[in-house]
Amino acid sequence: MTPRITIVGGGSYHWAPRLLADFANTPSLTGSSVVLHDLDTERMKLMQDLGREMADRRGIAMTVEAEGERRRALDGADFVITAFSVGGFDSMQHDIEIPQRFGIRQPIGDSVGPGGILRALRSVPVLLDIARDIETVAPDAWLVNVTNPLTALCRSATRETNVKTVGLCNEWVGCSWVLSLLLDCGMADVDPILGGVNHFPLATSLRVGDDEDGFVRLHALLNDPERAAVEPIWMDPPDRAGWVKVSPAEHWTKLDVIENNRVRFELFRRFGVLVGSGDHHSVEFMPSFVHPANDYGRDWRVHHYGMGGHRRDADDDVEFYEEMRDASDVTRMPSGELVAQLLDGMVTGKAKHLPVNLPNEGNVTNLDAGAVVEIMGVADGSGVHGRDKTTVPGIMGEFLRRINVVQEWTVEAALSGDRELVLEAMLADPIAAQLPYEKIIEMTDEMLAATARWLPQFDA
Amino acid sequence: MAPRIVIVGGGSYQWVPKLLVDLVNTGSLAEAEIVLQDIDPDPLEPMADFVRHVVGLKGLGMTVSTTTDQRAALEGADYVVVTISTGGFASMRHDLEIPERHGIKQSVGDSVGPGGIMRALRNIPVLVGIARDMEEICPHAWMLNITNPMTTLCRAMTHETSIRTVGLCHEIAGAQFALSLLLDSSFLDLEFELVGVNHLPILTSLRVDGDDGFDRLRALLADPDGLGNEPVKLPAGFGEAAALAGGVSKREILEHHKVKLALFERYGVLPGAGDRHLVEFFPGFLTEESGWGKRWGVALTTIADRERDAAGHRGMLAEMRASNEVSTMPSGEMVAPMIDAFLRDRPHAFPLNLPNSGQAPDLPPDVVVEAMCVADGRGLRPRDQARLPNVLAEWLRRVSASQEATVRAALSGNRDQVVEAMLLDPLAGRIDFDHVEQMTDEMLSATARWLPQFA
Repeated sequence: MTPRITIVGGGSYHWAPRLLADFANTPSLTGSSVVLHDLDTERMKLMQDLGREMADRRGIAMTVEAEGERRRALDGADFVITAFSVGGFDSMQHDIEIPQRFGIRQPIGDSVGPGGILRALRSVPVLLDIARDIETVAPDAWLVNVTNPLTALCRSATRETNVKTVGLCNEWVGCSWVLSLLLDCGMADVDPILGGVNHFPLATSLRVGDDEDGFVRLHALLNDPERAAVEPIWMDPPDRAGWVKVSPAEHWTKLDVIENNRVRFELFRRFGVLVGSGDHHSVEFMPSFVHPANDYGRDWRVHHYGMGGHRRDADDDVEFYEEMRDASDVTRMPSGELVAQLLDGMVTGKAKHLPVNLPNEGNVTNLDAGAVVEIMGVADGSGVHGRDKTTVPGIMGEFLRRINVVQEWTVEAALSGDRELVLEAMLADPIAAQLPYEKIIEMTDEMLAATARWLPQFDA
Repeated sequence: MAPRIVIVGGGSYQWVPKLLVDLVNTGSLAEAEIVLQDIDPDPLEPMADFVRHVVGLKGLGMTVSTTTDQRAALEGADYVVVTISTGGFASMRHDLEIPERHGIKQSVGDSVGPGGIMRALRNIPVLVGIARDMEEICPHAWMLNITNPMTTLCRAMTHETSIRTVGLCHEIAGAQFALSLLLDSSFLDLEFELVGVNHLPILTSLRVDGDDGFDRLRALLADPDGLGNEPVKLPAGFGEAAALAGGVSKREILEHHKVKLALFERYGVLPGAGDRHLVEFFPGFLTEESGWGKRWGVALTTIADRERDAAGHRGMLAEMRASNEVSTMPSGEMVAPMIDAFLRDRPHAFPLNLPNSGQAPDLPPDVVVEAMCVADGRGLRPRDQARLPNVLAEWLRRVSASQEATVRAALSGNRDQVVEAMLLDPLAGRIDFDHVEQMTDEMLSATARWLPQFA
């Protein structure tokens, strides 16, 4: 089978180069016909050129075409990857800056909290338009969504359409790297049971290698800071990780790993659940880590992106594209994104185990059936399925339940265009609810007004 | 057979005199045997003396005895009323002062929030001790708990012991009174359904003289200027209370209920406890920016306020003892009327705190919830099944999760579980993670002598 893969948002400097390189490096996908669709014709063309160049360099059969008409782009697709941002930085700026004026600092602002809620309101209608087109022109296709907020978006598609939908995120990949440093193993050797939502995936147990209990080993290490302060790690953190050297040793040590993932390991130590996303994401689900008294999380080494950080990331993406364009070969370094692996499992029928976002079918007992959950899944010839069943214990289970309620309401608000429902989501959102009651109302009104042009469903 | 009614904490000047007046005014209890038990012997004799005085005035066959021995008191008991406070103001001071140093001001501090959690940790072992004695000595007696925090205390009883337990709180009567004044109705002509937890009971429907009471309330709120400043007319039969409230206008009454009315305007249902309690469940109303509730008309009750009240309660008992008349005004407490409904098998509806067996479909089974229940010769059963709007239902689930954690912590004596209850509590969980933990440790350590299970 030579799959037809449509990338909606195919002009993305971030996604297109990475996905195309991953496809070129995945034997089952080297014969794919890739269709790029984007509102930005010029960038779509740039990425088409890049993809064709990659195919030439490798001498593979992958074809790449750019198609500006969406239905035509989707027609006959086996896989549709959605990677878009409604309003880009122009809209996102309001997600970050309006709450900031009210005293709320969101380290990233793309999943939950006021920023995540508004982003969902903008993106849900667009994703649903795409999904409805898929229902018509490619009803058997898998929709592979990588757009944030992932949970709310996937939920809207599974709730409102018949399209087979899966959400993918690379946060667990980052966590498996951290674990590989601490447990002296390969990234592929750690296998968790996950139960959570996107950007708050919670490992309730962890196997290392064939039968070792990773949690036992982690607790032993955390309880022995002297050992952690001297034991080296198998690779130094890359500069862009921005880690601070803490241990006195000349080399990077396991203590440095722990200290640069403070929230993750604090929660693990206390509550026995390992958060599989970076601290900058997870604290938006537990805002007592983002409080003036801890310098909005900086005391916990929580990294704040701010608009500057988001813009820097975007500049890096352009630079990465240019490197790819000017290289003589195609990089063999995996992007760390899971799209190609997922497709590979489905195309070859050889089961791939990876974290996925799917409707809950009893996989996470804390959450309702149908809620979109991040769990370990299996991609094979029959599609993608949740693999495990787990209960998130204690306080972490309750925080998960709380946020998922808000996510369900966010979807409801995005679909209905009802301002009251937006406010209800804000009132129950852990970050927004840090504000005085009347300020939550004021902030919600301001955010809706400032981004009104991207929110047609709220037109009175 | 004369019922034997034991009051554990029978020396409470705040609660016992008004309970006693209600008991002597209840016909079915004319021959009742009242037992006042307290670990402090000093107030017991004045209380018993007061009972003998009014029994003499009314010519009843009621008897009263006192003891400091809990097990002796429970012998043969039919009803055990619990009105205790472990450590009194000496412990409660820490419930308020320590959180304040960490940036949390509490308006009451007796139901949820850091104060409510600590109070539960102190009182739950005492109540479990009473219930354990009851299991041996009077296993069929009812425990009528009026001690705070009511929800967690009752939940610990029903979770941990076989004693039939019900929690009784007067907050609904207060809301009912305010509504009757606002809607020109008699107190008893209001019919409502409600659901929630203690100090956050929520009226989901209201009928007044055949009308939708919520519609009438909305009409009133839509035109506050039309209310004028005329003092409200009190319903007939209020006697001296009429003089007390005589100068109050409807506009002023609204000013005292801003929080519940704001919630009513948003969600269409009406919280039925005093605003000072409500804000501890909805800390968006209890913020520095709003003057710690001032903007919403909420004042913080301090220990000094409570000490003044306590002195007033003592004075009140002395006055009542000196008088040769017994007030016939019901106190608003439900102990006497509920026992009356049991004894005479006359079904009567009360707002009561019982395990959720379906009366609160938005909350998990078995957690203790406040809802309208029917008391009769067969005992108690929930009357209604009331659903809440989304946001309030979710808010109650969050509160309930913290209350469940509180009960677990109180029973286990595990300090980490106290931190977890605090983190889950909407008010305590508002401050940063480290301060939640520091505050918890400081509170545990300052009140350690009342927390033997954490030793």
